[in-house]
Amino acid sequence: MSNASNHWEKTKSLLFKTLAIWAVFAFVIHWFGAALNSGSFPGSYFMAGMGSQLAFAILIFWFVTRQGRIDDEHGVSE
Amino acid sequence: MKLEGGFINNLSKVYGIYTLGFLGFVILMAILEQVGVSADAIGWMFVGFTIAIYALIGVLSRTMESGQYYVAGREVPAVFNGMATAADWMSGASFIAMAGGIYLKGYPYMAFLVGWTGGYVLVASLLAPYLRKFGCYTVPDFIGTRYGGNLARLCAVIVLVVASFTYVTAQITGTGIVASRALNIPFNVAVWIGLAGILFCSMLGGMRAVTWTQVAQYIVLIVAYLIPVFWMSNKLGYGLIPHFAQFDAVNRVQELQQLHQVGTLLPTAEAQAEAGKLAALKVGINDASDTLMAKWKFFTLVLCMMAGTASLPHVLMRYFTTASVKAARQSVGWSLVFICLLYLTAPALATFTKLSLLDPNLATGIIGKSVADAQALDWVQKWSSVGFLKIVDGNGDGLLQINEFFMKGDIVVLATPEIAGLPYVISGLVAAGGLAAAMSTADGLLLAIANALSHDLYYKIIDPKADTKTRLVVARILLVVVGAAGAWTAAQGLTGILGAVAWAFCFANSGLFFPLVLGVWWKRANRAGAIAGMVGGFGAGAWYLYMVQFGGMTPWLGLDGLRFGMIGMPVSLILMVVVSLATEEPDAETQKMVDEIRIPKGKAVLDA
Repeated sequence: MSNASNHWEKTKSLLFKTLAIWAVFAFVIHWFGAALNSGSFPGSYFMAGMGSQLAFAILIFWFVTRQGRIDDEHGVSE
Repeated sequence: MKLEGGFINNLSKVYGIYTLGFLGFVILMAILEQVGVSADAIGWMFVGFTIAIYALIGVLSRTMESGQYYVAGREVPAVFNGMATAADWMSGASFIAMAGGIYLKGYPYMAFLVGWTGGYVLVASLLAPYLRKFGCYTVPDFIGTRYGGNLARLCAVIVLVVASFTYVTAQITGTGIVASRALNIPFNVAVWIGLAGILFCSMLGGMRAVTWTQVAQYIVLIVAYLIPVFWMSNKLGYGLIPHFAQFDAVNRVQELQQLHQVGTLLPTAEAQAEAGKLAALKVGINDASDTLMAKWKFFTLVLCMMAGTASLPHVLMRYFTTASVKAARQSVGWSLVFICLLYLTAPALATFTKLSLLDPNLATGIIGKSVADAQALDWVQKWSSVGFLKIVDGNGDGLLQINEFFMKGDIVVLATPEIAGLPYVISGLVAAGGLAAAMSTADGLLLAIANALSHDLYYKIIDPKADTKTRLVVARILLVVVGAAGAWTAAQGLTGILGAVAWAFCFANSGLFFPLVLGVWWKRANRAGAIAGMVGGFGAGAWYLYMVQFGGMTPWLGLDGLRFGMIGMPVSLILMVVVSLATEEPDAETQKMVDEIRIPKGKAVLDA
């Protein structure tokens, strides 16, 4: 496999991982919003107002680091 | 100002001094208030001073180079571009309307928070770095070059103009609302004053000027948003940091909801008729419903807002201005950090405002107390007189029940300092922040529209031989014309802020999401497929919106006008895939171009 296609394969696999984590915090958790409110803590309010947003921010920086590493390994970074 | 090493190398210093200067100005205003300067004068000074600063930055950043005008010379550092994007992104809807929406509509409304932040994951992973490597000036520039041909470019221009124009009208409306309140002038005059300020920032320096004013506007809007919430959280005794303190406040509000029978004591038909479009509080603060329909509505709104975020040209084009592909990626992360500073605060603001109004132990808690006392309050009179608030004592018992207090969501942000009994200087600050939010977004949108028309329509399609000077003159004339059209439409008062914003997202995702994403991620996507995807998706979405909103059609599966992207996007995807596969694959040159944009190394594709 050429360097370029190898790089793209890894990039794609990172994309799928990123989108999988994204989907959990974007859709799955809120689908079960009502179940998060079982205790005395307002769980659905917390996840929609704070939890998911923080998760997205962390996810982007994680993605950027990983993608940077992939680019470096294949000698295609700037 | 002459700085050693130039402006770009001294950004932290310049904006640090600016921030201190702004805080000093706020303190000066507070002192003036104490010595008896009138509230009106303070409002004027806040609005006047901040607009003057933005205009000054706009004039200092003037340029006649096309690279500076269209993409700020591609030298904006990731963190500052993140700040500019946050201001570009957070509009009147985020600043003025969002906390009010959370206040009145509770948990289902928080789908906007999730959608408007999660969309940035899509921007970072699917689009921004690749478009940066491509080296285009505008979003239609990418579509036009990747798929080839003027028709594809023209389709992208049309979708961009419709989506952004819908959005910009809402922003100019927002500017008008804030300016008319703060300056005590009629709404349709305020709209034009707002436009003048917006044009001053963008006309002379294009993207370069807009970038540096947006950073300045971000600082004003975030200070203005955070101060009242921190103040309230501490004043009410819930804790130093409102973001952690809000959960106790939520539990307290839930107790108070039972006391005031929120959700069971609904407004009578006569009272609602008298209140018109204003709304009483009818839902609990955290009622996540377990029905399939409620879950579906949350899911679809989140999805539409996310895909819209990743297709709105005024956001994507901010990432054309960074120095490298890597910086573009990082910049998306910083954008979200700066956006989260406000978005994490909006629920806390809504909750503390609710607590202030509902808690009978607080002096500010008017619900359950005498109607006459409430009507004697300054802020109740002021906001009633402009039609944002109404008290209707439906049962005539002289007490103010939850179903007798009607308001417009926008006042949660704008009136909170007064509701909570904070000094007027805070209200002036909030007005300046709301203005900064609406102006910065309007700037970015107007520039996106005018650049698409001047670069893609005029230069690329009509007159490819035009020289740089002519192109930049045309770009500026278009900016004024589009701005005037937006202000004229806003002055007609046709659209509310939030509805129009959600429409803009759905227009953008129906027409542009798949042509953009597949342009990078699917080599087989070709011209015929992209055109079919843009025309079909946009057409289907627009048709559905028209039928539901004006044609009296019953929405399918609960997909209302806010969610018409759920119709447009699948149509766009299916058409694009089917038509692409049914026609010839793109030529070798195009495939090579796609290979090029997939690696960060090397020159931008359009420069090569």
